[in-house]
Amino acid sequence: MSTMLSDGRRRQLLRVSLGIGASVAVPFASRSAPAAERGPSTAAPPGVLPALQWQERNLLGFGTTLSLRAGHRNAQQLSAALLAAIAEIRAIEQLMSLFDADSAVCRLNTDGVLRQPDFRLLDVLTLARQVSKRSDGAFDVTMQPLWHVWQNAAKQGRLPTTAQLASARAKVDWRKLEFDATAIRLRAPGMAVSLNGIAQGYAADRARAALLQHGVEHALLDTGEWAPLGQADDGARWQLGVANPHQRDALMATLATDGRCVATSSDDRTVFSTDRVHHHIIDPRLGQSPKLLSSVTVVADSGALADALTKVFFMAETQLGLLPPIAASAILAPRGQQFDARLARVAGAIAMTWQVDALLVDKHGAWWATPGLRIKAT
Amino acid sequence: MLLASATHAGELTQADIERLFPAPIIVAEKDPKLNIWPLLMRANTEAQLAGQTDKLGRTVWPVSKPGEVAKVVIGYAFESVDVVPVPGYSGKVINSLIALDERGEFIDVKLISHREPIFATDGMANILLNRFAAQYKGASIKETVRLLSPDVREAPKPPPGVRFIHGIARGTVTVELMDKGIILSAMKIAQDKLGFKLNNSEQSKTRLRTDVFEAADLAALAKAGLIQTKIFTHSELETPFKTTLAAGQDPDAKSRPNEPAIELQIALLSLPQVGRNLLDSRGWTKIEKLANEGQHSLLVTWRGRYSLLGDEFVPAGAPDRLALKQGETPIELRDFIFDDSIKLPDGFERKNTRVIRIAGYGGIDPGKPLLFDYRLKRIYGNFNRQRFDGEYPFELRLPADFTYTPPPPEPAWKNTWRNSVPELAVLGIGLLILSIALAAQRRLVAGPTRLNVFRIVFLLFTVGFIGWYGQGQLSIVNLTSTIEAWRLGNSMEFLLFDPMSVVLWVFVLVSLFVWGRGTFCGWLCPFGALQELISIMTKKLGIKPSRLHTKVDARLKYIKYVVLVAVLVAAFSSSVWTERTIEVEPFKTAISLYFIRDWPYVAWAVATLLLSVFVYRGYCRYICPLGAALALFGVVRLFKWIPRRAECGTPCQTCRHRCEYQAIEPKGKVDYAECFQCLDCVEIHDSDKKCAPLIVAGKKARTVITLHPEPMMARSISRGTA
Repeated sequence: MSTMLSDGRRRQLLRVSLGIGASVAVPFASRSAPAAERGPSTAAPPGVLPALQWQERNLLGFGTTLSLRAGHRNAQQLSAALLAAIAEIRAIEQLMSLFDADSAVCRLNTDGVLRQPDFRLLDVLTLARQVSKRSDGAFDVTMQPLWHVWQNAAKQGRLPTTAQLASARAKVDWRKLEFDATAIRLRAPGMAVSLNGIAQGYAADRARAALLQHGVEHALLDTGEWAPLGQADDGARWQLGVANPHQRDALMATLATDGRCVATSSDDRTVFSTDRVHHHIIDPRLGQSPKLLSSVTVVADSGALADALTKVFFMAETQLGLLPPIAASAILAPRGQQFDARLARVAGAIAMTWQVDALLVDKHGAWWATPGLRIKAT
Repeated sequence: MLLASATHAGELTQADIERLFPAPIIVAEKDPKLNIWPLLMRANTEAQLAGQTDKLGRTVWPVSKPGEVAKVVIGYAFESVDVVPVPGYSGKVINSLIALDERGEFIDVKLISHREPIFATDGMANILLNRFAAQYKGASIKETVRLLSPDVREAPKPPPGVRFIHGIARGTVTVELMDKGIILSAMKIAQDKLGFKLNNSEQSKTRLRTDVFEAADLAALAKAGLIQTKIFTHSELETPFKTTLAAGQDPDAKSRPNEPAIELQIALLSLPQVGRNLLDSRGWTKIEKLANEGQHSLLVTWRGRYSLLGDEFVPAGAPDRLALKQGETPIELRDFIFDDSIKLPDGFERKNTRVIRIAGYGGIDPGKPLLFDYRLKRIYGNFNRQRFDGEYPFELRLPADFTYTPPPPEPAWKNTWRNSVPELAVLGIGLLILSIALAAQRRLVAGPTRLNVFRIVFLLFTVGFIGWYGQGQLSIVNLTSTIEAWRLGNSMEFLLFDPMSVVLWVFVLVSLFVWGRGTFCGWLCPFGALQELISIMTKKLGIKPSRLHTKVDARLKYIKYVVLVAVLVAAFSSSVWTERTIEVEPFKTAISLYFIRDWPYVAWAVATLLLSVFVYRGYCRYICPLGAALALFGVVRLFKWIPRRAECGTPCQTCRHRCEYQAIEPKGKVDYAECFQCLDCVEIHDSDKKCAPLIVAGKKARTVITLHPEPMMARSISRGTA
């Protein structure tokens, strides 16, 4: 479930490919100039306002490369805004990193208690608890012991034994993670927390808020998950290219963003077996990777929520036994043939529960999306 | 940390680095903790995407457009002053810009700044030092860099793992120190960021004891060895100049050679026992704060002819006459005081006392002696001035009472063992039972069904408990990963993470001495057991494995050695090929992954199992590289434990024909390298119903004892025909 992986290619799934389809998706995009020749200044009518200045900052964080691109009419104000956003991302990483033994989460895991926790930790844990509760534990920040067992076994080139899995599963329970403003406590021995499945989305939220506070209204933030703001260089919507989870050098579809955050989890990050049957997304209740889906992209107002929900959608297959009483037509888009209709129904119900949109790709490459997404197959 | 970076702020800005590493390299934001700039590039995959068109025929431009991802880290750039500041000959840091790639190779090295006196008047200095620095390009931090004397024109061919770099005439010391700064900084980044494990275990884990404090006066501190005094006499100061033109400049060296010329008193002020006793609380707070950030402070007092600081000293600069090393690593010293904010203790005067900061990230290792150098220089001549240097090394050791070395943390594998106790107990009982059974093989084979029942039960245990449950399938991977760890210089500790395998390997290695490879191959290999159990069932269904012709069989048996050689060659050379070749082993698919895997692997595992139905244990006898390795190791076997008779081979061939492993030669000799210790031949040997010589002997006995009473006869006959 960890998305904060040492695998530097963590973010290959989503690529931005601006300009593609922009003239169709957005009415005011320039149709006359070919995409390649369109300069940044075409964003605003000349003579009305100074053109947007664009700056890009890259940094390493959450075990991958992060990137912030933003535009503003005042370059200095823009720099200050980007610095503030970067500081916010770094602060979140320092709180939530599992690589840094001094991080708040690591101290919590070592000591079993963390006093006077930072408000950002409480933010994230509160959201995580809500998701755990409503998803019946499909998302669980206390599943670090399971991840640990899988990773150790992978290091030895094998799978964990039944006994190891059982003992790790016994330590996973979001209800035993207690917190209030004064302290965070792990209520059972051997418990450990990983915020890797939610921290990047939260960082996107906070960095976006920092930019807005500094008056920056056009940006695309990649903190491992994506937060778009305003418009792209060419005046169109920011377009994200969704890479094919089974073919890294091909785009599967493009997604025109609508101001909401975009988060993706897929089975090709850290794999525990070469055939991707066992990978880093693990069902906290079963201790095994879900079998049907290959990639999940969630679009939601909050990056943290989108990030956490990718895991909930991944575990949708466990609910196939009790199909939700929803008219299939209400949720089934006219696309995504060959996609398991029952799975689509469960996923549709999850999307409706949380008021989010989602794009699901199964192990055979068939995909399905909720109707709210502006998506184009390539 | 903050203070360290503030006082050691590197000299370059993001823009400088971007100029030095232009597009297509992308310079990411400086990492505030490690003080490094990650260098990124767009990944290949993205370049491939660039040429695509969408459905309307318009070009997709993922590369030329902003914001896309798939950037990969190609390396890190940093200033040596930010990582390990090594003072030059002048005592001031020589700052180099270093770029290191992910494999630990230098992308580039450049001089940023220096204050070296040798070059002060030489316009060529920067050019020479930059030329020197450029030689690191392409070198690896895994190599040992050796500086060649400037006189060497053509470098000899370096031995493996060594990189020769040409020195600079008149700058030998400077480039040595510059090299130190480059190498130590690069190693630190390689360890902290790239995860390299380099064998420079110079740093011990010894810490200062910050918890010890009792009030003490100067005399008590001196007695405890916490304030140490070093005295140089006039003649000692003269010694290094004796053979130079600058000899005899000091008249006192002749008139009163044995009287003290210089007296130094040094105390480690950042040790609470020293600092809290000597300073007021405000002063101590400052020193303690720095110490908590890894920077220690010294209180140095001097008496005698020369000031410690030298003529060129500026506040907050480096003292001219004192230098510090630990091991071979020079450590930067700096004057502490900007504003005289620390009140000196009673009895100390500002004019000959200074608080000196031990700068740098690593600080000092309190477990090792502090190697000081007192330095003097003399000038000779009025017109053509020449400079001579005198160095006076002395060392200071911290009393052991004030340092402690924490015990090393418990290795992680211990916990794994603790958790495995129940499984290991079951395994231990299993192995004990097996050992007893095999040691008492004559009893095991005595009954008509005893051997068969024991065998089936034990094989079920092997496949179920050792294999599927405990994941204790020994594998050629154990061997290849050990070789690879050795080849790549990695720790072998990973072996201990798998208690079940460790116990089994130990047992198997011991059994090699006693019985040979058969104990593992015949009894403890889960995949072998699986084949055998399947064979037992298929035989019941009437499928009899066919027996290959002796000559064919003998040739096929060599295949496994060829496979073994291929696997070993791969293990010694390439990780990628190792990963591929070991897939010849179906163990992982069948035992570790329960056949849940991509179909080619499953197909191979099933094929090997099917093979065993038709050619008994075909995989084991002909293909298995682990079996081959164990067969070779089996030469250490000490006993010929399979009982034989004179008749074995000539004339009797019973055992040979009944041996399903075809491990008995026509002449009757047992080929232990191919023996799976199934004990069938032992059973035959001991059975007067199966062993032909015994049957014959039985018949003879019968003819001899014809005069025995009738009932006995009847029994003999019925036995003979049973």
